[in-house]
Amino acid sequence: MARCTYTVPDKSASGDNLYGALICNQTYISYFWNAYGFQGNKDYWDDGFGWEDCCNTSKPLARAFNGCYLLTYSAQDYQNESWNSPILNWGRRYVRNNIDDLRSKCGDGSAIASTSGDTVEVYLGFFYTKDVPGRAETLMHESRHAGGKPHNATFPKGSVFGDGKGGADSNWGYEGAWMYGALYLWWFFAAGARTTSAMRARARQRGNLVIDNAFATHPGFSI
Amino acid sequence: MEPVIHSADTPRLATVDDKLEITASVSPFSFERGNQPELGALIVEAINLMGGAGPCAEENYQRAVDRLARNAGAVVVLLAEEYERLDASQYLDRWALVHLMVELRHDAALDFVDRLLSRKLPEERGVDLHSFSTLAEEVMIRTTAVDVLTGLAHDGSSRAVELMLRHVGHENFSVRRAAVQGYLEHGGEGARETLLKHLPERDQHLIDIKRVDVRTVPQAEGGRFLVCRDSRDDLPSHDLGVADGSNDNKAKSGCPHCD
Repeated sequence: MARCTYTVPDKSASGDNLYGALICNQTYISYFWNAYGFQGNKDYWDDGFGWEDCCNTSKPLARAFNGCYLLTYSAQDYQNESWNSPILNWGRRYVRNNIDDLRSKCGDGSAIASTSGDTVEVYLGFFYTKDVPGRAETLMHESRHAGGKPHNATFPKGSVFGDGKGGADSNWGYEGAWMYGALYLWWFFAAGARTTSAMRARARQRGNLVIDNAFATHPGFSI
Repeated sequence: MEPVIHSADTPRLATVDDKLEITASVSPFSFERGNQPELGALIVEAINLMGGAGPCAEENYQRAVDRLARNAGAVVVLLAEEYERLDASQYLDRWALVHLMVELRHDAALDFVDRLLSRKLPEERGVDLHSFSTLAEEVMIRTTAVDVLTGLAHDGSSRAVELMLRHVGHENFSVRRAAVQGYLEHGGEGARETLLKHLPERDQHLIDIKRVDVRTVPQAEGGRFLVCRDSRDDLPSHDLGVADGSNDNKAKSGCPHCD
């Protein structure tokens, strides 16, 4: 067992303070817990991670729920989760189908997430360095891995993710984890509902970063 | 082998889960301790509302931006000063300050943006870059700074256009790409030719990277690569948690009720 500490500032642009009032409802808590892989993993969400205090947005569980709210309700017509609709609509369904166990751990202080089979571990970076749209992007990215699609290329020259290192996708058409994350962010920028223009702008910046840096062959377009 | 049965209170030799201790800190910003605390409080409020959610999120955020816009010049100066004071690790907070400059569209931001884009990028501090890259965070701050220029160029600032051209040679690909796109958009009729003169041959392909609508790019094919196919879920409405203090269903203690 690892022990970790984290200092949380009282206000920031992440939005966690404001989501708190939204997700603090037993109906949502029960839905998110059952739908997104928390169920059966209480041991990974207690001991300071928030199970006992799940509306407290200083703690990981409420911050994970904030990402789940965004993932669930960011399409204007969120009731439509048809596979023929935009990824903004069916992203929540994809995550629900592909993550069987979602577990929180300390990590090394900067790590975000990792996937093994259909189990996804999320670390302190997921809760405290990612903004809320970024958490939804991470769940999409890891769900794609859980669905059996590994990275298949090395990062391009100059990539912020590690010039020449493994972990990239070959191209946009590979439909890998980076494409899923970037496309989700792109739709959130273009059509995200129940959010602010600032968070949509943030999603655009992150989406462009992924497009510019995570494909061995640049797709040739940007957001 | 017989199955091992554990009762809830069976002693366990080891656990695989981790333990976390959270401490709260004061706001990372020092505006309210400065010589314009009222303006500083409005800035902090706007930053806090950036991440809002729910049906009123955008309206509340825009109202906060509008309050800042009445003193846009002074606010931009405060934002630039605060940026320099923040710890390097406050990536999202630093981004928020620059994003407010995008919103305020005041030419008092030009010197700051020029300085920011002229600095060498800090060294990468992350360990697992696929997971978290500090350089990626720094780049997003700078591509947002290019958006400050783009907005001012749109409003007619010739200096903003000049600065975009100056920074098409930035060391980072994404910053170069953003500056090239901004210059193409606002550099006038001869923008493409001017860029071809300024850009080294290896970067001339940047001119062909277009900003496009998400509806025009290849989409992910839904319903493939699934671990398990779900049945229809009982999705609650999006607005249950718009708290008015009277929601009987609001969680009171001990949650979730699932395991």
